[in-house]
Amino acid sequence: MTSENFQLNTAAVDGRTIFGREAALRALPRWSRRLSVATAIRVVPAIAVLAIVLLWAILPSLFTAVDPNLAVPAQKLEAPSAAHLFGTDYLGRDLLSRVIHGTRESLTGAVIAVAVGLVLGSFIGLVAGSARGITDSLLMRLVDVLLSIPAFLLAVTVVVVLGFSTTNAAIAVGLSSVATFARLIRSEVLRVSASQYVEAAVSGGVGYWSILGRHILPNSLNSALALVALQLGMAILWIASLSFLGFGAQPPNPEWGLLVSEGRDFLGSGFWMTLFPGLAIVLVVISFNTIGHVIREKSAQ
Amino acid sequence: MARYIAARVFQAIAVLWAAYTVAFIFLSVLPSDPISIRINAPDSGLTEADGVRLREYYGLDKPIILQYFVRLAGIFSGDLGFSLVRGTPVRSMIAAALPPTVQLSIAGLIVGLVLGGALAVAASYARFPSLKHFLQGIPPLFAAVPTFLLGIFFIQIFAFNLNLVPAVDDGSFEGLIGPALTLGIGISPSLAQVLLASLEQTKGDAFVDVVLAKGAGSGFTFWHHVIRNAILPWLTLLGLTFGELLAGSIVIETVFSRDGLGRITEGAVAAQDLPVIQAVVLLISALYVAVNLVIDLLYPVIDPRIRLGGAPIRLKRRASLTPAKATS
Amino acid sequence: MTGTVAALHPALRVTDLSVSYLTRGTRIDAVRGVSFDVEAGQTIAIVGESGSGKTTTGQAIIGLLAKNARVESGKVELEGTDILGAPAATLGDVRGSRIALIPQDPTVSLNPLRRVGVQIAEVFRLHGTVPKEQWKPRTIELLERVGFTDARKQVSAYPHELSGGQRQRVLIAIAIANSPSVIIADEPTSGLDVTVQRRTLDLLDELQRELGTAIVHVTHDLAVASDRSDTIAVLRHGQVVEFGRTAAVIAAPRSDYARHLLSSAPSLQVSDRVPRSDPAHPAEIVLEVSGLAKEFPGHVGSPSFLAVNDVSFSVPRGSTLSIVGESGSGKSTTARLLTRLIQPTSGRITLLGRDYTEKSERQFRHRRVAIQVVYQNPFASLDPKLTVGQIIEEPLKALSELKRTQRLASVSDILDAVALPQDFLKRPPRELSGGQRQRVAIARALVLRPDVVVLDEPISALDASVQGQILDLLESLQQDFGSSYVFISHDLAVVRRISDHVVVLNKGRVVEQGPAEAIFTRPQSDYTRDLLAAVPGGGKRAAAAAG
Repeated sequence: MTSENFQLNTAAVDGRTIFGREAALRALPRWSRRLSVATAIRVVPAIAVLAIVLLWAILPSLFTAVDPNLAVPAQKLEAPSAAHLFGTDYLGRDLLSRVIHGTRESLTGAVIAVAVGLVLGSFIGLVAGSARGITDSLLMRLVDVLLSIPAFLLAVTVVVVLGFSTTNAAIAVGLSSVATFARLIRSEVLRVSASQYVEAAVSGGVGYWSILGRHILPNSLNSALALVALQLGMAILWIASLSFLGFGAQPPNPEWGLLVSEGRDFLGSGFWMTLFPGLAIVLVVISFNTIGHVIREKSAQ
Repeated sequence: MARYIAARVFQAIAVLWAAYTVAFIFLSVLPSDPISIRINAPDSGLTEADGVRLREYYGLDKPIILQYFVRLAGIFSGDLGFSLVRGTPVRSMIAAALPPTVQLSIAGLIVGLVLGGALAVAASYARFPSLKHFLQGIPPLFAAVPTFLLGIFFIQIFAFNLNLVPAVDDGSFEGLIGPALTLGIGISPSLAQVLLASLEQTKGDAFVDVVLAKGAGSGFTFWHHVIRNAILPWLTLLGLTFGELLAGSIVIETVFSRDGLGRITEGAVAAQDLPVIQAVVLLISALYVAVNLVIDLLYPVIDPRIRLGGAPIRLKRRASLTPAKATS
Repeated sequence: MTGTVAALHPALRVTDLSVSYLTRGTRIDAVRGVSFDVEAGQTIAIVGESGSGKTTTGQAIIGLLAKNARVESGKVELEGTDILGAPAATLGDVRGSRIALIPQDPTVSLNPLRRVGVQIAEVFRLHGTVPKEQWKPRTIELLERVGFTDARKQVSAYPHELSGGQRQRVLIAIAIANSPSVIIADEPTSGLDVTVQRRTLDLLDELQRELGTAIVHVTHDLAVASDRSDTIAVLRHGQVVEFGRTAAVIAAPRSDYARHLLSSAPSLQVSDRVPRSDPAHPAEIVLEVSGLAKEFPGHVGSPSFLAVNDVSFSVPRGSTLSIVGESGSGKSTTARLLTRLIQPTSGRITLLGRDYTEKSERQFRHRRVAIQVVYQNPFASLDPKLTVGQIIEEPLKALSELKRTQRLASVSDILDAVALPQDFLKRPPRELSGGQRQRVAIARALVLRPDVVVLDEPISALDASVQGQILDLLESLQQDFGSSYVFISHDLAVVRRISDHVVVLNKGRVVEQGPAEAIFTRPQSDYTRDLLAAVPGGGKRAAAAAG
């Protein structure tokens, strides 16, 4: 029996019944009014992590003065200490510096991957959802074909063609997510087009392009944004996986997946070589996922 | 109904053919060719003349379009070509590699289902809000940990430090524990999140109130009504998960040095062994499409609302957390 | 149940019941100190608008409150035993045997995956009242009792194979299976067509007489309450503002609120409407429809469906034509055809003397100035991403030549006309109440001063007291602007109040049409007579008790 809750919610937006609460809410700044405490506890750390990581990517030298590729054989496999916060690797390179300098590679890869997926996928989805009919059927069959190959396997196959590098791994991951984006955008276009406010706009004489720009795109934006955030997380995971297998970044590049792979043989003698880059991946992915989920929950309300 | 099944089977075959063709076109635009890689390898001992002969032998000197049809015809007679690197028939390579991967996938699936299901039910029925939040936080954490990282640490802790399981696959049951757990944890987050959302939604459905109003306790309500409805989205998700399992085996078999399809794929990609890659893509897609086809056909059996005569109606599935990726 | 118990205690006694909700850290008192008694065989109607706490009261009695609800105080005595906050085991024993529920929406209240027979037999199984081998025959018996003609077959039907009315009968069968002493009926017929509503409520009355059950009937509909209850409690903001014998409350309400509810609820009283069209001076026909038909193609293997079949009518300038029908009558399809959101299969639609049936959207678009729509659900028909000002301005932007300042002036004028304050212009629709949103939708439709406005169930999603206000607004706007209305509705009471001309649709065909008074006073077809007889209101039970 959720009906009464629904009724209460509608009562809550009705200025008459619970005027005091409305007025109190109105006094708060707009963004905080829309974030509950529970949501803030999830979002604020995620944004903080991403902000730091973004700074690492843009200005790595601000955070470490050490050259990530400077090998000091005398300092091989040193445990974390004040001098080397994350320790050193098997060649005596400073791991903190390598993790910080690897950020740009990992983040850029994720952005490229999502850009490829979003641009191609949105185009296919928009065309299919707007054109309907035979164009829709053909494009969706193409999407079905793409979906019939498990995405990671597709990415691996594409990277064979493109060659092994971070950028190519990113493009491969992006191409394998095209179908996901295309599906989402198409279903959003269909959902919003079927809404009564779009019908009302048609009755109001609004033309096709205005409806697309004023109603369909703004109302699909949240779902697309949520997917972008989630796919950024997934892209980081997959690019790291490709690098780990040796199909992405090549040594001595400090890309995170590759760092984990390098540390693999030294787990017994230097677990920090695996732990810290691994933690970086986990934290960034979890932050992207959190933001994606929160956007999705907000837009579902 | 028979017409519907026939149409879906036909559609599945068409999708597979298209997938194979896409993969073929993709791989035939490769800038370098595998024979050159073999010749240029430092310890190959092969000459350019050998290369010409090899190309002729493998039919790589023929026009691309002819190669395509020869391959396609070969597939129908069960001939998947020869590995360019090992020279052995691809079919026998795959036949040897398939059983361990299937074994791993099934074990991983069981771990994932049990773990995901337990997390979802526990979170949904947690008495205290703090416990509920804690349980809800586990799947997102699992989802953010790369499987290779999980695998590496598993080996380090359970094989080297504690000496509980063998570090590399020795064919024993203990050897399967690590890979299966890693794979299962990898697929559990989406299973847990989808089931949890579905449970919460179903518990709020009006019919549950009617069941409670009949005098049913929470146990009866759960087993006779809630879980039956809540589990439906898992069916769709199962198809997707299957793809994740097969793809996940590429990483996991490498980490655990286990033989199988994933390992073969990894090796073939590194060496650009095209026939092998094509065969793996074809085989995995075929398995994936077949599983999803079975699921589609199972839907009407499980959900009476979509049991209808003749008309190939699009199955209307309940919204799930993950973007729908299964073939429709 | 037994005479002695009934003599000592009423079937149900609710004392000082208070329930609050905790949403996002804010406590909202939903029910505040509600008390009432119901004797065996009697019905109390709990009447209120949305947010009044009526549903919460029902949920609290049977112990099915939402998770975030908390009982603050009170007692719920079922034949003398307090069951409020009783342990789960006790509640499990009581529910389904001594107190039962008939839920709000029959379409979602049965488990879609299980056969209806199984769902009925569960009541026997849970309480052990019927030996296992008797489950099936007893279930069939029950189904026959609630009016299934083919119970033997329908006992193994899945819920989706039954109609809404049939599903509500199954739910009634579940409720009465163990002959409970109290039934909570939570808006049991609000989603059903009037004729189905009447048959369902008649059945409930009959079962009540037979079993001597006490019924708590939760409803928003004062007319239904006046027909089907012995006592009425009117709830507002969680408090009982009016309580008494039904006949007395309807005849002479003591509280202002109950008086307001009664006066704003449209009923079948004679309309005071002055006909807008004068027969002596026939007005210009602005919209004419002839032989309109719409066929929807079926899926492969199933036949196509004729939603609208040979519909003809004409609308004179400044008058209101109503299209009435139950669900599936084709009235909404007709509305969509008139506004050209879908194309007719055959027939003609003439707007201001010009046929637009075969025009393309490109050719027709600029002529939409003359015909606008107001939709049923104001929560769905306003784009959540725009402000009220942008929503109202949109048709002006698309179809008028006005400059921005002129457009803004028009928007501000129309906002005055629909009696909304100017500061609403910058607000998003989500901050508005249902009635306010519908005013925005009306403003959007009228800002172009169209010749015809199609009103597709414009008030049925609103509370009764708001319904009256919106109807008043529509009538006064018609006088000011001289627009013609095509009013689509299932509610005959509303139609009588607002129409000059009525078209009755059934299964896509016009059953009968004519001047409103004639249709209501001298209906020609059986179908119209049925519809009229099913309209609730008039205090049937009170009249029966008196006579």
